[in-house]
Amino acid sequence: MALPKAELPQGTLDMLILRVVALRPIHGYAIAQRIRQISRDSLQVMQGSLYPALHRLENKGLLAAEWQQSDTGREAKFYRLTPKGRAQLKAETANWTRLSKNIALFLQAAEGETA
Amino acid sequence: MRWWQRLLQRDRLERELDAELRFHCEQQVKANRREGMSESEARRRALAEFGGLEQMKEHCRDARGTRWVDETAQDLRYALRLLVKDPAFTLVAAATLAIALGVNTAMFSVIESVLLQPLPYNDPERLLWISERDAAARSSLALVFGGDLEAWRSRSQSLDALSVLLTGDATMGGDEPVQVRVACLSESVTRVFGVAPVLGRDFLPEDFEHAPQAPGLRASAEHRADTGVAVLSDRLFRRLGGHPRLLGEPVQIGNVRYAIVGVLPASFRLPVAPSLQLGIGPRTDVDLVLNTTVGRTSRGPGAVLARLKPGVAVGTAFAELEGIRQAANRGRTKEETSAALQLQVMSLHDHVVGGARRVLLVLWASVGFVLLVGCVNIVSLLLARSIARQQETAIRTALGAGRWRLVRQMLAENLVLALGGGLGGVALGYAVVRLLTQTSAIDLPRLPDATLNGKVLLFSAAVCTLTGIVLSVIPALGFGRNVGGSLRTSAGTPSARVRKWHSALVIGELALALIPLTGAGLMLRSLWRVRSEGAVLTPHRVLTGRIESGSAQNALAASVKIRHRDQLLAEIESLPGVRAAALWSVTFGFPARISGLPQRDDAAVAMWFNVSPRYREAAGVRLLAGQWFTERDRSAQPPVVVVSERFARTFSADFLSPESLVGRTTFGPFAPPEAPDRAAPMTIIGVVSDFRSGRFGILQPDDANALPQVFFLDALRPMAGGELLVRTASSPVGLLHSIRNIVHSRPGARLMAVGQLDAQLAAALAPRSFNTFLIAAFATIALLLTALGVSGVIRYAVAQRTREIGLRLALGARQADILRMILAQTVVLVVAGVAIGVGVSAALSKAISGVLYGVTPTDPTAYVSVTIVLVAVALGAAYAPARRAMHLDPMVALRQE
Repeated sequence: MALPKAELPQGTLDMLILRVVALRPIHGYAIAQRIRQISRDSLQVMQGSLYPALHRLENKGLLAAEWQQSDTGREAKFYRLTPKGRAQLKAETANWTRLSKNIALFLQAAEGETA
Repeated sequence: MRWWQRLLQRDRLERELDAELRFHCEQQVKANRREGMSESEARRRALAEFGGLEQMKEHCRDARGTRWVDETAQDLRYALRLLVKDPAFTLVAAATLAIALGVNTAMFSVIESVLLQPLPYNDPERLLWISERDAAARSSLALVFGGDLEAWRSRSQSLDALSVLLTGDATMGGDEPVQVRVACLSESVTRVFGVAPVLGRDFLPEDFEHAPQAPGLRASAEHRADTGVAVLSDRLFRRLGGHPRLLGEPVQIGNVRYAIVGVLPASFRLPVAPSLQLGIGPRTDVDLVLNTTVGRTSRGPGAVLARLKPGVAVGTAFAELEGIRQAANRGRTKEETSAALQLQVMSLHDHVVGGARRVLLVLWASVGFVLLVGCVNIVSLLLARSIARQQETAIRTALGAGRWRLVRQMLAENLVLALGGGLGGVALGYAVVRLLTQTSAIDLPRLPDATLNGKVLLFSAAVCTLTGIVLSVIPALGFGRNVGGSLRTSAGTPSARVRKWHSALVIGELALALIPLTGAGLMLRSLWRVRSEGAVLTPHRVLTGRIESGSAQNALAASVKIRHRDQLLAEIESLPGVRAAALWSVTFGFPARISGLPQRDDAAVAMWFNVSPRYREAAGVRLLAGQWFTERDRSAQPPVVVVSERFARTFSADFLSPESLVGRTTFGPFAPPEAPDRAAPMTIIGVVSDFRSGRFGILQPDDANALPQVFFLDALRPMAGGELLVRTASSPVGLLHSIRNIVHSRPGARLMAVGQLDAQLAAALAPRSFNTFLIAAFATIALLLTALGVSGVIRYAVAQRTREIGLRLALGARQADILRMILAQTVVLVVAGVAIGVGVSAALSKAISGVLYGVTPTDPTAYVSVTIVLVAVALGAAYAPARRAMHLDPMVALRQE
């Protein structure tokens, strides 16, 4: 049996996508694969929400898209990060790191009290 | 990709979305196959991972942010389909809207041009119009006496420039003279209006040192070596050929020579009245601006234009001018000053627009009511229609359409309707504006400039949109809430609440229609009153004209002038068929007073008529008391005068009959030689009916504030020429040739501006007739729309009660009973509507009193007659559906549903 898969917290999908796309231009299927790989299968991205998110980011100007040949020789839509997207990723990463650190601190402190 | 690109390239985006998802799917299928699944299993799993392909696609489309556009387009398409499906409703509603919006567009275009456009001068808000008005406010005159002008000019701190303004019609040219409208200024055009000539020069200070008085004022001996200079309007300049060589050329205006020195820009407009001293009357743009000494070295009444210094308030200028004026009047007697008159200072714009504002606002209100009636009409049509569509609405609600979505749908429908009506309205408005601007009957300054410009179209678009929204909101308020129950009931059994709404709408419509109808009724009554008063004059078969005398005649001694006049008139009267011939001229403004009256110590500005002895017979004025002049009265001392009915009423409204005025003393503008600064006492010997010629602005037949008239004999102020009146036994046209020959036999004399008195009066009434026609036309539109509304509601009510009526008929009710029943229902609505309408009309009618003549705003005759018309039309409209109900076949009716 597979490990129980964590639900993605609200709003983090965008950040994961930006993170994956930041490495190199990449198409939607590969993004889904990468997210699964990097998180060692523990983050389940519903394909149903991946594409609307991609389109939303594209329309916001955080991602740019281009049709290119994939390794299999088929035309696929490749997304890459725009400068605006890069800035957004940086800001969100910093934000997220700070937040998770603080939460971890809080949880530790709270554990200490109950102990 | 920008938002609008996404909107426009929807097909490409759809294709790409498909390709992208297909690629994903195929990759997933391959991966699944590698894991050992069968082809079909691999494909099924791949699709399942998307969790609902279509749903996801929708989410992707949402991400584009263009969905509402698509939905709106959908709404509009649906709205169009519905409107096309119901052509009768669409046609009636769109036509109603087109008419209502059309007249509103046209009226706003007129108002924009006449009332709202700033005057075409530099800093036009700094231009002032200074006048004096009668202390008792019986009349407002554009008259200021010369003495004040000089004092103002030298002492005022709040004005940049000050000029007299004399205007009038004059003849231009020698051999083939043309009529031109002139304005005389005692200051340069640039200093007053801030507009400089585009060609040549403006008046220079030295031009005013020896300027003529005015072309119409007979040049007196000391004013002969005049240097008259003229600045042409662009229009006249072009009419004369438009060549710069015209500068420096002499031009003969009336009996004075001027030199053309400049040409004004085409944008310069100065709409003025035709009488010399400015009254009410048809205003047209000035052709020529002339210099004058009036208000500088010579005294005389005239209108005054002034330019405020920047930043000075009108009130400040008024206080200062009033102070100077009172100081200047100190030491003069009441008889010789205008102290009894009140100073009036207003912006030039207000003055130009003044009289037009009242008429236009009344007309605008009428078209506003047409729009309201039209809206109510369409709302009641929509109401009937949406009752029929209740089931559709209910089904859509049941299928999950939100309330907002439904309202939006309705809004789309009505906006399409309003747009269609609006386009039709703009086309109609364009036609109406063209008609209005080309009609010479309307006396509105600046009307010819009216167009459907951007502002007007914006106004129309706003009214159109507002109408569409109102049309959607009211029905939604009416029954938007009762959707739930509608599925269970069958169509066509509306709640009592809806029926009440329907009745209320009809009552409102009737009340609204009655308001413009009342206005039209009052205007028609006024017109009728003016016409019947004009008939008192017996203006038929009276030839009018003006004799321009040559300069040789003007230079003659007074007694010779009189002898020549008498000979000329005697010669004309000796023609077969001539009953009486007379010469007259009029000067305005000198205040008349009466001594020995216990009340009313104020003076009244009067019109002073210089007449030949046979004037009464020629003009047809009736003698009311005392007697008319005889030849002997020419040498009477003190001089004698005859006054008009209006004079008697002005000074003796409360207690004096015309007879009691006879023998009293009044003071006139004729200084006795021994005391040139004093007003002359004169004895009143008779009272006659008012004279109205229609020729001079102030002799308008329908001027409710007409000035009192004083007639004096020509020997007091001998003049060579003047206005000619010839009363004949049959048509005067045949005599014109002989009369002209007699006049032209005098050296330098010419007969000008020939016409007939009745035609002149009719022409002078044309603006009133036309305004009345317009208001009546608008009221008729409102009436017809109301008829449509009433008939629609009754037809609907009959349709609702078909079964009931069938039952009644089957049970033995006679056809007449059915008719009575339906009509009784109408009568209830009509009575309620009329009661409200009469009340509101009476409350609003004060606003219209300014344009009425001889009729009070609550004139019972007008109210009763329009009520009768409205009731008759409403019952007539209800009769057709009632008749149909009466002839129902009971069997068919009972089997219905």
